[in-house]
Amino acid sequence: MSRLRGLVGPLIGLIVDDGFLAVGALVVIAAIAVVADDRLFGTGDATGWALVALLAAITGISVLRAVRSADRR
Amino acid sequence: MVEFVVAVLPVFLASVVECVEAWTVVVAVGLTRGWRAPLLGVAAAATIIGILLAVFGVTLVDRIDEQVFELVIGTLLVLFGLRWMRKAALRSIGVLAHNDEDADFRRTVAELEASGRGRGPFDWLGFSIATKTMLLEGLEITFLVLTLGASGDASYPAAVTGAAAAFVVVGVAGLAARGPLSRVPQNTMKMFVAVMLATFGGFWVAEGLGVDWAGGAWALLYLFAFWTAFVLVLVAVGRSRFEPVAAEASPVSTALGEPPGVGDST
Repeated sequence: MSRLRGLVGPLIGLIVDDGFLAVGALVVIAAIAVVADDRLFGTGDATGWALVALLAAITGISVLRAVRSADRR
Repeated sequence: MVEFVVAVLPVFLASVVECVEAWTVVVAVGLTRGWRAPLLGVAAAATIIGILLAVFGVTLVDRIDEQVFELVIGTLLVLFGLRWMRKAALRSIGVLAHNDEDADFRRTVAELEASGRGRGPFDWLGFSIATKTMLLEGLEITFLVLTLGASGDASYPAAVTGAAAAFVVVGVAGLAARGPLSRVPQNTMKMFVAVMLATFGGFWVAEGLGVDWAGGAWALLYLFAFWTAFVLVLVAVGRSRFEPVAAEASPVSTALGEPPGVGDST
């Protein structure tokens, strides 16, 4: 479990922290591009909202991780 | 008309923020070493930025396929907007210190006084500091003009007008004040611009991927409402989880009711 946490923590940090917010946004856009290209999901309004919600999520995680890190200091 | 407003407002606000930061350095140079060199430096930087806008603006608008264009420009706006949103939210929460133009001004003046006066007839140090500062801040303005200005026929002149208006407004206000413009609510303006960039960026990325938004361009309104609500909730949650270390607040930030920060990386 601790190994998993040790792996997942840095991975999340890589995607959402500080300058890596950009990497997270690019991953989200790439993922939505795949979804939009897929017949099952298509290019409906919901796909656009999925994009916006995921972008908001990584921004929120990035900010709250920075808050937690500053609070520890 | 809608295209004009959509492009002019965020570019104007973002340009005011960048110009205020540049002005702090320019006025510090002007008051300590004389005005001729820094004003020539600002003119040189403005000329370079103008050339960049003239060359790349036309190229972007005329030569790129619309769907590819929306995807690329939307992605850039998302990256830029989320970065500004993160930083503005952290400043509102109190994790990062607010920009203190008074402190920046005092620090720059002290550094310039310590460096002494040059011997030649022209103050090359003052010129290069003003040019470099204006160029650095101006490149962000250039990026916004090129991206937001490329969304329609009326958008490019609107974006250029927004940037030029900000340059003139800050220049006139700065020359009248003869000091740093420390009362400009930079973080609130940055937050507003970040919300607008995230709104347009997300909208265009989705359109570039072929998504049909319900209501067409009206989607911009509810996306703007979403990002505004999101950032307000984010700041409220952040504040509830963070206890700022007592730091000495500047008289200006106290007067504005802004919380003192505990450090800033940029």
